[in-house]
Amino acid sequence: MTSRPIAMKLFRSAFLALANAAAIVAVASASRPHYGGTLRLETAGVIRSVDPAAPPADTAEAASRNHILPLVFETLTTVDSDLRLQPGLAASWESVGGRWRFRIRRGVSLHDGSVLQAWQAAASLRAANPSWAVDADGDVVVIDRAPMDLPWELARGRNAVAVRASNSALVGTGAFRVDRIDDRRIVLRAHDSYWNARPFLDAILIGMGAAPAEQLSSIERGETDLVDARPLDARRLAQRGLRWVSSRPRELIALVFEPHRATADQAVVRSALAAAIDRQTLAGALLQDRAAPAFALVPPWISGYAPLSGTMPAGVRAGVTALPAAQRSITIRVDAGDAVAQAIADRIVVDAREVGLAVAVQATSGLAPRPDVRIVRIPIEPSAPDRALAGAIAALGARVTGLAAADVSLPPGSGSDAVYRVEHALLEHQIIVPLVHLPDLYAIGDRVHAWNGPALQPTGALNLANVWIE
Amino acid sequence: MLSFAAVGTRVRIVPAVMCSAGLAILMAAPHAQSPREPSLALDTRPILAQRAPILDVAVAPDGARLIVLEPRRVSIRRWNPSGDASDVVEQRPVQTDRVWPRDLRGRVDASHLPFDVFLPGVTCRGDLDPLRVACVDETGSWPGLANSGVEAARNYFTTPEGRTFSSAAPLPSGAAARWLVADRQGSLLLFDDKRSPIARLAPTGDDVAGARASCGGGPFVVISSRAPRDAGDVDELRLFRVAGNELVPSSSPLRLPGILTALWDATAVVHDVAADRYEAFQISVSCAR
Repeated sequence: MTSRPIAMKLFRSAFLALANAAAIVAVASASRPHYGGTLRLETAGVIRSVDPAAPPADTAEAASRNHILPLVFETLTTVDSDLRLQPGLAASWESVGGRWRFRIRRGVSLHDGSVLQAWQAAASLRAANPSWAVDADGDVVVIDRAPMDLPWELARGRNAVAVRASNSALVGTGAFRVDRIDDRRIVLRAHDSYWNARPFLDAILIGMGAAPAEQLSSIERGETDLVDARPLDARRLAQRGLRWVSSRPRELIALVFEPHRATADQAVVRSALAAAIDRQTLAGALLQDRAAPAFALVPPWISGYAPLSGTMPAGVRAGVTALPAAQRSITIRVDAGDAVAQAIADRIVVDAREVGLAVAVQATSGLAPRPDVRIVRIPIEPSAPDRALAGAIAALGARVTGLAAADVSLPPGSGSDAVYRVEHALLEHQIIVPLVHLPDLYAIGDRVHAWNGPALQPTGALNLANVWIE
Repeated sequence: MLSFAAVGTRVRIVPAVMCSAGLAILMAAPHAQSPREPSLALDTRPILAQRAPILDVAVAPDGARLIVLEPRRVSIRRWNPSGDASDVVEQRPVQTDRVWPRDLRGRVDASHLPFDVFLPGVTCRGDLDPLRVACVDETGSWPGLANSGVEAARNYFTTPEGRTFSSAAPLPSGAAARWLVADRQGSLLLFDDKRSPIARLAPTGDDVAGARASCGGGPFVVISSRAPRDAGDVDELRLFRVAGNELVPSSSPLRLPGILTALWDATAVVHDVAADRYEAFQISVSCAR
């Protein structure tokens, strides 16, 4: 006890003595991950339900759910950064005679402290997929009447295991549990008994519904640690010394011609516009190298095809000049709230002029005169090529794909040849014109670090269990 | 403690970068220090590299073998004085059902036989000839500053007094400060022989180790920290002299080819995230007069 005052005195004097030393020794940030702290994250979408199987109300909610819910609810299988299937809550699986058996990993703790049982996983999958025959056999989930590529299907977020607890709340097995949720924010807490090791963070505070500009200002002021970012913001963030994390490309921005411009007699216009667009400039100068030029629906890292490059067919300009003036005028509709699409449309106006087309941009969120072509965003599922293309076809909708090709049937498990054939058929008549592929982007604040890998996986999954903060 | 190696040329130390081969690249420049003051540099010698995580590497008492600790096994490699390590010649699993923490730390104490292996919440006793490893799920004190082992699901130690720390380096007896300690937040503290903090130091760091150079001064410590952002996501090691309750920089930083995951005395392990490879190095202090 008598030594304490002396020790404290030394402690204080050392502080003073070292004030000068601090000036000459650069203070470096720490390197070993620290446990604890709350990460502040903002996202544009508002998550209305944490039920993984609940349909999102809009694309913003869908994007937010895709990023946030996997932190709470896990799937039986997962897709790794090289697009290979990996065990998740299922330690192994097999298919015998069309019947799938998934052996549940031992010792997986639910957020309520109980151990996950196969019957609970089966009940969750049955609720999400009423057409499947799902049952439990000991520690095995048995599934009949399911798609041929079921292990891939089970890696989708909507098939994550969510167990209905006695208080009717949904509990999961993920690295974080839901602590509170309201219409503006979600609070997640670390799952101390997480089967794959407790996360470094104690909590994640998720603000929802903030517009991109608000998010940007928030992280610049140091009020947030992680925000959705747009390629257009790259320069501004770089100037402020903020960092980025980026997935591989997992969204397509494309032009889609309306039916009256999708006929055979409009082929010259479509061909001319498709050829005129300088995708390299879109991806590079306009989107600040945060996008990739797109000449196909599915990005090369998923399809495995070498990226094609567009070339201007001979006689395009002459063909356009020969058209009636009305046909040489094109109206592109973009979502008024989509700054990236608007910037792309504005650039297309310039490119189209080179081939004699007059393009007007119609930015609207309500009723407006009929456009000739729309800019659409198509999410691309990081999965097997056939599943990624099937997802893109579904997102485009039957109306569009019906205009573009006669047959877009792609049975589950289709090989590369079939995928290439269908994709080629969809793009052949240039009713759908790929422009750029976009990655998921996040801006991260100074105090955020990730241990042993990036905070955002190439597949777009947030790796927040490995994130720590200073 | 780190060993030292004298080098024959006289150089002023300027920022050094460790290339993938593990050699420090030092650039000679006109010497600006007093003629009697030694120039010091941190030096590295690669021990082995592999894709599987390396927690620690220790030279067996016979000096001819390496004991390599990985998260799930202990392996043996032959080792010769030139520094070449053979492929694995023998291995045994670390038998436990524990879920390892994300920043897993482990240590081999091969100063005696049977050797000891320390993991969070697990201790093992191992023998050579033939290799045997027996583990139990219990937390034991690790070598160094008195502690109750690494917390089972964490990456830090706790002293008997309840103070938590990431790393500690012993300082020579005689001075009030007996330990340099990196706490969980990356602050550096000096502890007295009763493990009470007597000074908080200006630099920050997470891993510390004692160091020794024959050419003067000291005591020295090696401290890890994150390299400046323009270097990418890599760490660096810095050499300091402990002068009373201060740390005086004694060499330029040695930039590592990745993230430092372990610094146990003279052994450093680095994870090259981009190459997904772990490399173990021996660290030493070289000096020139």
